[in-house]
Amino acid sequence: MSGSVILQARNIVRSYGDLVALDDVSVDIPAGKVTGLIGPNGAGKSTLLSVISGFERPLSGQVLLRGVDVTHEPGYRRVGLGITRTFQDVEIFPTLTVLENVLLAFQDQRGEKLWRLFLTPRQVRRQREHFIGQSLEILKTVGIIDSRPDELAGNLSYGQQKLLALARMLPTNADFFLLDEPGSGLPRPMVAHMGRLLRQIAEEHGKGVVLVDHNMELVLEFAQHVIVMHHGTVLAQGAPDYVRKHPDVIRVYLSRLDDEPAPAPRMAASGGSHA
Amino acid sequence: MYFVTTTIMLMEIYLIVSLALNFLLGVAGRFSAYEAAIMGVGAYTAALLAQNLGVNLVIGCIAGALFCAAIGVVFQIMTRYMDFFTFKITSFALQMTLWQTFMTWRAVTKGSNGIYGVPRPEILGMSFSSTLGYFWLTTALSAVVIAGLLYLERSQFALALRGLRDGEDALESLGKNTFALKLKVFALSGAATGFAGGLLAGLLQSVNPASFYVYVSIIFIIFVVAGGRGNLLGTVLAVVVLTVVQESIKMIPGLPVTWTGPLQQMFYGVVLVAVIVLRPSGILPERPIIRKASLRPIASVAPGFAFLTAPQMKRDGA
Amino acid sequence: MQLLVELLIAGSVAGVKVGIAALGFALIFFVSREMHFAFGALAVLGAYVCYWIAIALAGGGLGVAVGALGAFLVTALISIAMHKYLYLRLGSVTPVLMASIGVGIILENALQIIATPDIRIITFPSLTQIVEVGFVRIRALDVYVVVLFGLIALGLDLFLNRTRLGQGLGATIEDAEMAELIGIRTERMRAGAYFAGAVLGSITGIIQLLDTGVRPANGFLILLYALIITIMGRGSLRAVAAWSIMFGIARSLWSWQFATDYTELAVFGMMVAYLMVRDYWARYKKGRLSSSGTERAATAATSH
Repeated sequence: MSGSVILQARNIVRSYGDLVALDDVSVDIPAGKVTGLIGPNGAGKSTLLSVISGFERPLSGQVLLRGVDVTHEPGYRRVGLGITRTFQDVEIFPTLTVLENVLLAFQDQRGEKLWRLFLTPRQVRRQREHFIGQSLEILKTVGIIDSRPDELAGNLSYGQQKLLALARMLPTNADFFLLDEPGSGLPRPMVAHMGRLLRQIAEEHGKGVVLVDHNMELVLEFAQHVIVMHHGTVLAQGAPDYVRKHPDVIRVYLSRLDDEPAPAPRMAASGGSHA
Repeated sequence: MYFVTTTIMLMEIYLIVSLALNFLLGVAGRFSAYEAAIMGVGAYTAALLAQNLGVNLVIGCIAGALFCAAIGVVFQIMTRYMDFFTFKITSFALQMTLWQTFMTWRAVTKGSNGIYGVPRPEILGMSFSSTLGYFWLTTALSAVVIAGLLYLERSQFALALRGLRDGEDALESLGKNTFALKLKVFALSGAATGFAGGLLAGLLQSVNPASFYVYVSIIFIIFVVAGGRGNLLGTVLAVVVLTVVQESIKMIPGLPVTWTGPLQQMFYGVVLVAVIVLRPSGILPERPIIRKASLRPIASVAPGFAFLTAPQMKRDGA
Repeated sequence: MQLLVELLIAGSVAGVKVGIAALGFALIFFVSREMHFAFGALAVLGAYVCYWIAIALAGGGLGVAVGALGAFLVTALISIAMHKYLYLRLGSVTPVLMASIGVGIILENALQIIATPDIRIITFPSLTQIVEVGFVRIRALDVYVVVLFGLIALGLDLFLNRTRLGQGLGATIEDAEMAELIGIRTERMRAGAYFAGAVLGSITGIIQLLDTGVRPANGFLILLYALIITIMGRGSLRAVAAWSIMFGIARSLWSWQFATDYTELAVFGMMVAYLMVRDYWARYKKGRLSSSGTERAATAATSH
């Protein structure tokens, strides 16, 4: 799928008082690929995510979706326009069932409109059954193993909840899915499973997936496009190979400004990544 | 007989308000302490329209409902960005302010004396002014409103409200306008409560500030909490059981008359503390809206992720 | 000019009477983060305890003084017990709120049964007489109350800022977890706050006893005003003190110019308008764009 539909951030500046979280950041997010957004703690990754998805307003700069300026659209409206996100702390709805969590995410639900509920109940019911069916299918495909759709989401294990958060994004049918540390705290097999799902969503359905994470391995394994941030600026963005050889990136990671082991020696040894 | 029908009518009216409050408090997770005052606004509106303009009481009830819905909306706009503590206080403050206004705005509300002689309605030539007649009218109207609320309890609208309660930001990331949702539930709740107020005005054929003091608001909260937040059937149970016990207190032999009121109030206080400490979720805990999903056959839906459409192929303009 | 001064004084006096309670409630809330809604009922209970003791000791200033001490003791004990055995067990915000409302209802109605709803008052001619301060005529009691408030406010301020114990209290208000980490016994601080709050509440009740009289139903009103001023104060006891005076003056000025019919409505409107502006402005400065009103942390705390 071509990357002709693009989500762009241009010259984003965002600060909290004296702390500059994003300093003139510009990125391109292509559709049809998995984009990794990496960098040490405090690099501004989550903030960039929030600005792009409409949960925070930048001091200056623009967010452009298909060339249209959406910078001032609030978060909920951007979903309809094509951008949705997950949160770092798992924010599934704990008192709702697994199914209900996914069901909520469908757009334009007749059952949410009071007038329709009273005047066209049959249409409401029919559409609801359709959405329920679709939700079950999504749950099956995402593979929330061992948990029944009637289970309360709060009773799920941490990993299952993170999978549910991913599943819950899908009914929005957004063009761009921004995931904030979807794999943190999960065992490797589950992370890999998630990565494969995201690749499938990007490649087979033309969506743009953005993955914010600390975990270089996860990102380099599944991302086709990588953005490296540090102290609120973009160090490098491009194909994984380009990025891992970039002098600025090597410098930052070699000087151990974060807790992760310096990846430089590993990069040289492991050769190519998945294309 | 008169006593029984009057008590049942009171129960029906209180039930409407409690169910409306459960929507706010239980389903949507928003606190509200001014229900009684809103009821009062509905009561005064209906009563004044009926008395001064000869408007049919039922129409007055609807007018009251609309007015109260508007108050709910305005209140929500005013308190949009308040943190939860401030919001709770403002809710109490609105209750007290409205009640105080009932007491002091003598030109309109006749102050602490209240309004007397509220005429019961006549519809299509049938007069409903007898106790029995008004009983049937109230029961019919209450049944409609209550049925409506129970129907909404299992709707996707209620599901969205629960999502709002669990995680407002998460709900927003799913594309829902959370502010509009809040406005809707406050309007809905206000409308039902105001309507019930109008019915009360017709029941008592008078309107008096004493019926709408803050303690009444707290009793509504107790109905909701004891019955089960988020479970409307539980509220029905709580209203019936607690009202019966409350009335029974009057019949304790040898009880001095001045003790009845305080004892009844103490009963409610004890119920509240007991529920909070012993069974916080209430008599009937909340149940999911979509049940037995695992038993449903999967209708013909697109397999896997096929329903996801590629970017170029949909939206226009955006 | 004379009128204006009289209005300001009348308003300040009214504000100060509310302010003592507000300081008490605010102290409890800031330190423990618990919404102690039984505060009003306890203040009234304090007034009754004082009354009963004073009557038993055949009235007089000494009787009231002993009664006051008794009131402090009783209300403080009950308050601390509620905190320790009820609130701490419940944990989160809403249950504590509800439970304290429940206890308040029980206390207030128990008083109604025991003491009947009639008003209780103790009058001292020395207090109700009018004195002249400068060119203003004012009741002696009101002068004492204003002075008392000043002492309390100043005392609290000095205590919090100048004494070690007070600084520990201040630290607990700022960040209880950090305070605990650096060795401050935050639980003791909370108990202390409840003690002080109960005392201030009782003082409020006793002032009412000597002023216009108390009846059990007064409790809620005391609580409500204390609540309102506490949220205006937003974390600072100095602000709470200042706002209580402004509150009184606002009501006084309003009812001078406009009909008293809508004084409450007007004051409520002003208060909400102020809070609205304050919150909308804070929101704007934070630069949040979403339509949701509350921060996620607050949302989590609201859930039961």
